Amino acid sequence: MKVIQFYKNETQLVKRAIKQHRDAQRQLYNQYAPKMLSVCRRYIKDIHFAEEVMLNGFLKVFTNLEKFKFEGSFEGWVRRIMVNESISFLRKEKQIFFTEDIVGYHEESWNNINTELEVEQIQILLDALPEGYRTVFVLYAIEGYKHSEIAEMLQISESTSKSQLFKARKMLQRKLNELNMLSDGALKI
Amino acid sequence: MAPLKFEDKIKEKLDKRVIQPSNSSWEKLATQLDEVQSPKKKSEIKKWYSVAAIFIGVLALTSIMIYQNIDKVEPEGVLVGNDNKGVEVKNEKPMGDQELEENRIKKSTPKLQDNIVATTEETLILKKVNKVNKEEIISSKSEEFKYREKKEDLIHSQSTEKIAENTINTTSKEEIPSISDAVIDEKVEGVIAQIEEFKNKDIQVSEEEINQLLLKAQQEIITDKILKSDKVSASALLEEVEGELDETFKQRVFEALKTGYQKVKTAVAERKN
Repeated sequence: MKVIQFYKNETQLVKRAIKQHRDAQRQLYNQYAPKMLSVCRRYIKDIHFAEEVMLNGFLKVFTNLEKFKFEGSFEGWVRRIMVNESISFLRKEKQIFFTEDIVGYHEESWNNINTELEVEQIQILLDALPEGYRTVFVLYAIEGYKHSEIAEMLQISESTSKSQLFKARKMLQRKLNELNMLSDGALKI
Repeated sequence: MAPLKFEDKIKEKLDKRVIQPSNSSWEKLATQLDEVQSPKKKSEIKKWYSVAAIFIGVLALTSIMIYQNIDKVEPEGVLVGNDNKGVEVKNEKPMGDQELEENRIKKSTPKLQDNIVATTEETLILKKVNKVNKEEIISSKSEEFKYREKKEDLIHSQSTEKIAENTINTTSKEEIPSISDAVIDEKVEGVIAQIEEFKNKDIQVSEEEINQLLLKAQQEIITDKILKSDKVSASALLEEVEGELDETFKQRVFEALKTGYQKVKTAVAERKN
């Protein structure tokens, strides 16, 4: 019952936000901004830039809200905008580079990896990855996009997407192995 | 499977993570939204205001038109009741030929004018009821015909009176010359008698004396004319004095004098022989 009530409330809020009611827009912002800032932060190391990107994303959300057809979840629609906005930011800042020097890659074994990491530790690991590796890894492993979709989004080939993922995983394993070697468990990258 | 488990755990933890934006983040977004959305809102508001203004304008125009029409209609009724001239002017346009006929009747008699005013009032009130109007018009027409007959009679009587007057005038004019002729004859005869009297008494008569006698006779004739005539007009007097009268009188007097003088001359010559 609570879920239905929330859905109704969200729909009403979105409808009111379409009519440019500032209170509804603010309610939606307060509801989704923390999550969306977390999404943007996965791609962008600097929190201030991430917030700037998130604000630009919300500006696009509210100015294009009439395009939302109430077919999927509103959160998913907003999240996709945030991802696209983050990628656009990286492309604009020329921080994203892709290399295709991997010929034969295979899945690395994640043996002896201490998986009990705090979210901040995970974020530090991700930030240690190059932009191209991190972007493809987040899009594939965290957001759940397919290589074809990633290739289209980043305007790269599927093989490049796969190689970027392979490199990202390899680097992450190396970092985690280094982490496991520390007896106290402190993350030093 | 290990990488998937590890990635699933990373995903789970990252999905649960929330990062609170800065306190001023909403204000920033709100200002950006104002910059982007306010022109749209303003344009929409302007559009609605313009639509409302057009609607009000159309309403005002229609109301003005309606009131003007009412104002035009109302005075007709007022004028019909109060002023006959107003009725004549107002009714000329809608009524047409019928009204022209009615106007003729109005011009002709005041009684008929009243009737026509009544009919126009009725026509104004009952515009839709044409039959009634037609009947009234027919009745007015019949009245008009009656009046025309009356008018013709009047004109006829007037004309006869005029003719009578003319005949009287002509007869008086004819009488005046006859009277004047008689007077002139009398005067001429008087002058001749005086001249003969002078002859019989062997008194020589000069031309000056003859002229004086003639002038005296002429003045007497004029005074007689003035006294006998009913109407005194300067033009008539001048015409009579300077025109026909003088010429005829002078010619006749001189002819009479000539004949008398020749008679006297022949008589004197025979006596001497």
